[in-house]
Amino acid sequence: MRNYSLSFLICIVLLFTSFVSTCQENYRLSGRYSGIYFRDWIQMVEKTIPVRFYYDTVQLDSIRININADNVPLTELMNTIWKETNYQFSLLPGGRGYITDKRHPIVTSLSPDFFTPRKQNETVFTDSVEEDSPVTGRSQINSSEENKLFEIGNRNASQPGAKLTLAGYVRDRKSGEGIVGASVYLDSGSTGVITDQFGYYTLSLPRGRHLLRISSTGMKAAKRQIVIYSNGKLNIDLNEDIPTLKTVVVVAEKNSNVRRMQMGIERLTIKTIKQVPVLLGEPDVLRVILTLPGVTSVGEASTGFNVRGGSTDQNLVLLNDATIFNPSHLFGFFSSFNPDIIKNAELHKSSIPEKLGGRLSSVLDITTRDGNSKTWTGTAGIGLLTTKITVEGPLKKDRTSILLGGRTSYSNWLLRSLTGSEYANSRAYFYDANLHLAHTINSRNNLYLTVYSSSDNFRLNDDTTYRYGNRNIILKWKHIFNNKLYSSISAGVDNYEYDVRGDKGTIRAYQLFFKIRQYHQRADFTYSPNNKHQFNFGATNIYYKLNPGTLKPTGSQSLLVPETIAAEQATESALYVGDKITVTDKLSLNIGVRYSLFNYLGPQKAYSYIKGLPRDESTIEDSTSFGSGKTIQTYHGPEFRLALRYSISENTSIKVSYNTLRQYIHLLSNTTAISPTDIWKLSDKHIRPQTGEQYSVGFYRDMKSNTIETSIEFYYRRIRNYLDYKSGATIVLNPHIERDVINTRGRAYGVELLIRKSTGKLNGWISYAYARTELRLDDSLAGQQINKGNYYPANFDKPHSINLVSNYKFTHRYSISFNMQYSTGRPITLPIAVFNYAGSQRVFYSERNQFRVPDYFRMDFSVNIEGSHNLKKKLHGSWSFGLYNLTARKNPYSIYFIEENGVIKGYKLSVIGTTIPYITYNVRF
Amino acid sequence: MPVKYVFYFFVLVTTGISSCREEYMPPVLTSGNNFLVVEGILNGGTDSTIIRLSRTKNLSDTNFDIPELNAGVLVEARTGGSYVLSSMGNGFYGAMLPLRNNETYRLRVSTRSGGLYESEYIAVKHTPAIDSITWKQDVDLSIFLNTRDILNSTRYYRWDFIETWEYRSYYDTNLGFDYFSNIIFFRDSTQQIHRCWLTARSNQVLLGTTDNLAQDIVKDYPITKILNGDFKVDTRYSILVKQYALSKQEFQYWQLLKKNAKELGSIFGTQPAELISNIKCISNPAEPVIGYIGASSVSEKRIFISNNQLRNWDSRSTQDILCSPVVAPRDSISDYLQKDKSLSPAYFITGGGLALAKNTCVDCRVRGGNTQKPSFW
Repeated sequence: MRNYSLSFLICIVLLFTSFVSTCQENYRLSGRYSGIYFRDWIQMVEKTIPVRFYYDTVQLDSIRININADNVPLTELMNTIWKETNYQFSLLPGGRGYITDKRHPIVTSLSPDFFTPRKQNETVFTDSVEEDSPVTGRSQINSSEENKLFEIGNRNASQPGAKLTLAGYVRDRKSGEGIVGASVYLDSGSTGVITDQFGYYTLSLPRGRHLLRISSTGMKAAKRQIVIYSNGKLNIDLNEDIPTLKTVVVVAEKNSNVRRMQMGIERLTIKTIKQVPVLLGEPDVLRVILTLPGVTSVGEASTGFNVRGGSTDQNLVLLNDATIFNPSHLFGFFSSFNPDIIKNAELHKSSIPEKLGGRLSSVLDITTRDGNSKTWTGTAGIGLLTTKITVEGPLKKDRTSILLGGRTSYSNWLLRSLTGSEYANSRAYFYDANLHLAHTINSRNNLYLTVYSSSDNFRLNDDTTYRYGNRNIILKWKHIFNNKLYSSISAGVDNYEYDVRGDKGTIRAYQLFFKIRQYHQRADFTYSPNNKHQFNFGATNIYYKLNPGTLKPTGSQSLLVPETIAAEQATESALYVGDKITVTDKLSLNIGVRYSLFNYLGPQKAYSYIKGLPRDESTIEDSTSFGSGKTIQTYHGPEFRLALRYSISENTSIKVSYNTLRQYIHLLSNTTAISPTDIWKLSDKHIRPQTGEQYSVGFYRDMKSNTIETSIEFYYRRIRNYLDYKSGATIVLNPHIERDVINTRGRAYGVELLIRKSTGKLNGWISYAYARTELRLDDSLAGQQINKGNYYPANFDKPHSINLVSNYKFTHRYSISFNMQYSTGRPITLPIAVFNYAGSQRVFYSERNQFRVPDYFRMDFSVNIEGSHNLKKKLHGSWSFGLYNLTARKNPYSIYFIEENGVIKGYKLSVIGTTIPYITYNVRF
Repeated sequence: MPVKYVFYFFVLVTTGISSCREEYMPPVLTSGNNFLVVEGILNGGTDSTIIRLSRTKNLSDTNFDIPELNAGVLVEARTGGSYVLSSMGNGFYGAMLPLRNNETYRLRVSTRSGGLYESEYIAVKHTPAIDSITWKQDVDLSIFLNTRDILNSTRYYRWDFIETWEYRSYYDTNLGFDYFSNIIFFRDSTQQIHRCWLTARSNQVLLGTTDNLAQDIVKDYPITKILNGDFKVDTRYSILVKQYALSKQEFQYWQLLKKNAKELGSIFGTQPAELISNIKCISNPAEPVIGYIGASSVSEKRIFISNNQLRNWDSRSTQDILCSPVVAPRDSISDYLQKDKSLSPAYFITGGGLALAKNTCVDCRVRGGNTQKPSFW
């Protein structure tokens, strides 16, 4: 009703205005001016006739006009001037003349004070209007940042013809944190950049006036009017997109998949992550990553994930650039990242930036928030499994912010409290803790410190106890040399260790210990001379120290002989340079090269074996002891990263990429054990680095005004020197692992389909992937064939997977989520028969990976209730109820065989054997 | 949330986690995998060739051994001519074969159920003689083997052995009890149960190679180890070691077989090994065959070790407590023996009564041996 009456009023005013204006045509003007500034001319006119002119000074001041008039009526003259433009003139009683935008003529007549507002998202400039220098003095009417004109640089600086650079941070106004991946682009649409991990951008643009548009997921789209005279700085604060009660269509990151340079990259914000229903209501990055096409995991509870047919060790998992060796908690059911501290997560599947390397398949780059630099805030959550709390705030306002996050499970107590039950002996406990400090030294220098620690301790109804944990620390210094060049220099330590204790109280009671530690340093530079090029270059170095295994007796009864496998050490260094080239609006390229060098160092005793014979105890030729720091073996080689994007149309693009990668560290996983025990191994004299190359092609199309994103990507990968095991290999505590492993050649290929709807009441995605990974023995020293030398499926080969993730919002407070996951069961080598031979009973196994475990299928459902959306409220609570594994399917966690009373029995362990309801409460303060 | 509901949720969660382990037998494992197992070598020496045929069993089967009976077993020479191995019962087939060193042979098996199996052609290897079998005692007794091939052509070796030992029961008695007639009787020399001999075959796969050596010499290869106090050297011990020359492929097959232990589901377990036989099923190429047929002569050597050659080797004192006697009064001896059949008469006690002891202390046969002295003893 209110709207209706308003438009009625406007109609009346309109009629009135047009009537009045026709009555007052008695002012006539004369004069000849060529290229006079409009503002100068209008000042003269105001002196000659009693009319005061009102116009948008920002838009029109700098316009030059040509006048050739001889006693021409004012209105007629004005109409001639503005004929070819979007502007029009109207004269109101009382000597008021308005020059207004034709598309919004109505508002001019509302009141003289209501000064020609323009609607957002519409272009104001027309090409025919010349523009030169603006006048800011009279833009007194609307002083909001959006309508303000920012003058950048020195007005008198003359840099004719040169492109200028504008740089600065895009930040969250409320917390002061930098926004990663926000796009900043000129209104003309031709040039745009994406902010980096700090929220920093560098844009190159010609001198003069521009309109900048800034958008980012979850933030309100913004614009800035600027006039730039010389290189300068502009920090932009964005407001959080808090939906008002009326519908607001958020078009943030619209077109992003089609427009983005890189392919096979998945960016998830914490908002997306949080609405996917998960086990026991713990929002989880890895669980959401697993719903993306091309990402699978070996089992429900495996330590890690497989990307495009790569093994789990071929993924680099980074938390603020610190490597996390084991990103999972509790048999892999949860990732070890506290959702409350995560800002976003990026998974690079096909085109991996040249800056990153060392793994063959993918990079999962998780960024934490910087912490609120304005006020102290926090969140807390209570769930069935964990309690978590986050506190953040300024140590010094706008200069130093701190973010502290902690999460701990109390499932230990839970399992223990059920005395007498079958699982009274089980326990499972974990925690993770994060500290992040961000400090602004000055506008050119920033420091960031991240500390991370996680630990797990579990025992599932047997006497074997597993404990593992990550510890990481990294210090990063960001320095801005000038608008075109900035650097980020960091150093840190990553640590991962585990120990296993078993056979307690027996003569075989043991403790097995493993540890890997790496010291890393890196320097990254970004140089953006103009909008056509962005150069990235830098150097990295890692020093590895690895304890492959120590076995110790525990308890007084144990008769075990202690055993320690000699520590390994190595360095991995790399130099890289890359260029992002915008050839035209439609075509862009990314060319990068990385050169890596690996040195395996002493102290170590290295064996050499007779050439051409299988490596074996019996084929040892010689052994050499290398002193501390002595190079035993060196590997090096280039890696190429090439990508191309071509926009076929506004909403369709095609991307092609080619990558080569090298990996010097390998994960050996004992697949026969009930719970996998993984060991990292460095490349050495005998174990060559893994190398891989990937070709991919993708088509992207956005539909229904970009609300539905579709893509199809094809890939083909080749892997060389992937390690598999000889038949009968021993993995744990093997001092000569080179005798038990073989090099294989792998191939992986597949298609990934994705349909995603990210806006509207119903949002989510559905994906399908067909992915094959096959290995073939490629080792003259193998001594024996695997599957007769034919290709065989890798442990993680899961041809079909389908994922559905959906969320339906009834209102802004109530939403439901549903997801579904299906994948083919993973391959397995089965013991298929028992026989007597050479005096004892033996087991006959099938060919490698010739059978599959049952398929994986799960459906989950959740209801989410947000608290009141009142901004001023002190506490914001939200509830989440859900059901995990609706169909109560017993998906296998591990399949293993043990001998019981002379008979071999197979068991399927499904950690989740039924539907699990959950409830969590989260509060933000 | 009321406490009651919190608890309810907790219980649900826990039942979810607890109902996790269930038996899992993929269909392929229950579908009767009875593949043919072929064990033995074509003996190119002066001994008989003996081949054992059996069948694999399913993982869950409890019967120990399934011999393949009534099969046709044939050894064929490449250049023509064949020999039949005749059935010796319980899946054993054998014959004395005049194999030539410059010929290759293959084994053909046709089973009663119509399966036809064929090995590759195998050359007959010459096995060099065993140089010596030595032993050493620190505390335990270790037995070593030395061998050499002056032609440097053998390179791959396999050994197995047969141990025979004499041992005596704790009591040397000439008494016996007849349960039917309920009387104590006296044993004559043919009925003695004090001295026994026990024979056991090795159940380990012993492999060695001299591939990396300039000369084909095996020195001090550990054949077996006997723990101090073992009754194997109660009186006198003998070991017959047999040596077989292998081809490289045969050696690798045995290596894998050795690694394929039944240690399953353990952290320290090994990765499954795939055994690829040199025998194929002709009638059904997809059917796997287990075993690797080799052809060679066999050399063997026997040594004896007596208890008095060893230091501090006492296998008796551990039986002192076990063998402490129970005294049965003279009038109720048969009651005692009828009631508890684990007892046997040991000796008469002066002044009446009979000392009874555990069977194993009186009758050496209880521990598996027999009283027949072997021919080589």
